Amino acid sequence: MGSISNLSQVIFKMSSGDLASEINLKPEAWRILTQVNGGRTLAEIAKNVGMDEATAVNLADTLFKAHILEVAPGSVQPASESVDAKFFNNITRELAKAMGPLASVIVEDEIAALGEALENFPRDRLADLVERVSESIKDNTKRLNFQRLMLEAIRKL
Amino acid sequence: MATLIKQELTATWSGVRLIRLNEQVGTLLNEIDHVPNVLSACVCDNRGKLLGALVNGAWDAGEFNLAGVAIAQCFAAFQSKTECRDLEFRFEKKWLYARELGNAFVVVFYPPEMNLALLRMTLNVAAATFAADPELQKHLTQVAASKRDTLAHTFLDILGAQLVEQGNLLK
Repeated sequence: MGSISNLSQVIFKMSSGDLASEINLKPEAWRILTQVNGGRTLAEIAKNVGMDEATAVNLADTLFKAHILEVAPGSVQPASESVDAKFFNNITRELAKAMGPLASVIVEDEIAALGEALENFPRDRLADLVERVSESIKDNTKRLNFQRLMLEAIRKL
Repeated sequence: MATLIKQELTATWSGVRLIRLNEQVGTLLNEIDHVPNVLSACVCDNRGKLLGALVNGAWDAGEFNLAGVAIAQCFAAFQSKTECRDLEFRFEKKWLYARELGNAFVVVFYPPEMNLALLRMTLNVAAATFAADPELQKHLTQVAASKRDTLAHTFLDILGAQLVEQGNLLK
C-alpha cells in the first residue's frame, strides 16, 4: 500500500469541514478516532489502543480518504502512491499505436510539464497525464479508444 | 455502493424505447460509479427532466428535476453564443459537472477533492456510446426537442425572462 507507507508517522486531527454524505464507522475506527488529538502519531495511537500498526494504518487511510481526518499542522505529509514504471511502457505503447513514434517523447514531456518524474509519478495524477497526452491524438476515435484503454488500466492499478 | 434509479414506465417511455433508455443510462451511470468521490449523478432530457440517477442514500427526484432544468437552461444560454459541451459549477462543498449527451445531458455531483481529470475521461468514454445511439437520440428528440425550449417564458421567472431577452438568447 504505497500511499500509506509513512502513515504511521503522520499526526492527524479531526476534520474541520462538513462531511459530504452520511458515513458508517466500524468499532475499530471509533477506537482510533477517540485517540486522535492533533498531537499523537498514528503509531502512538495504535499502541495506546492495543492495535497492530498495519490495521491502524488501514483504518486511518480510510478515515483520511473519507475526510473525517486531516493531517495536523506540523505533521509529516502522507506519501503519495506512485506508479510502477512499467505502466508508462503501456501508455507509450498504446499512444504510439494511435499517433506514431513520437509517443515516448510526448509522454516524457508531459510528465515533466506536470512537474513530476517517471520514477515516482503519483497515481492520482495519472488521469491528468493521460488526458494531456491524449491531446496529441488528432483522430477522435483513436483518442477515445486510447482513453478507454488507459481508463481500464488505471482502474486495474 | 450507489443505487441506480431507472426511468419508470410512462406514456412517453415504454416498450423498446424504455428498455433502450434504461440500458444506456444504466451503462453510463455505472461507469461514473467507478470514479472515486462521486456523490450522485443523474441523466436528464433536453428539458431537464430526470431520466435516471445514481444516488447514495436518500434522494429526491424533485431536486434532480430542479437542477436539471437549471442546467438545461445554462446549456441553452451558452450554446446560443458558443459551442459548449461541459459545464462546471461550484457551490461551497458540493460541486457539479455537466456533460452534453446529444439530446440529453449527465450531471455529476462531487466534493472539491474530486479527481476531475479522471471524471472527464470517464465521461468521454461513457458518454460516447450514449450520444452515438441514433435510435435513442431520436426518441429523446421526440420527448424534448431542444434545450432552447427551457428558455421559454413558462420555464423562467420575470428576471430570467428579462435576461434571456437582453442577451438575445433566443434569436
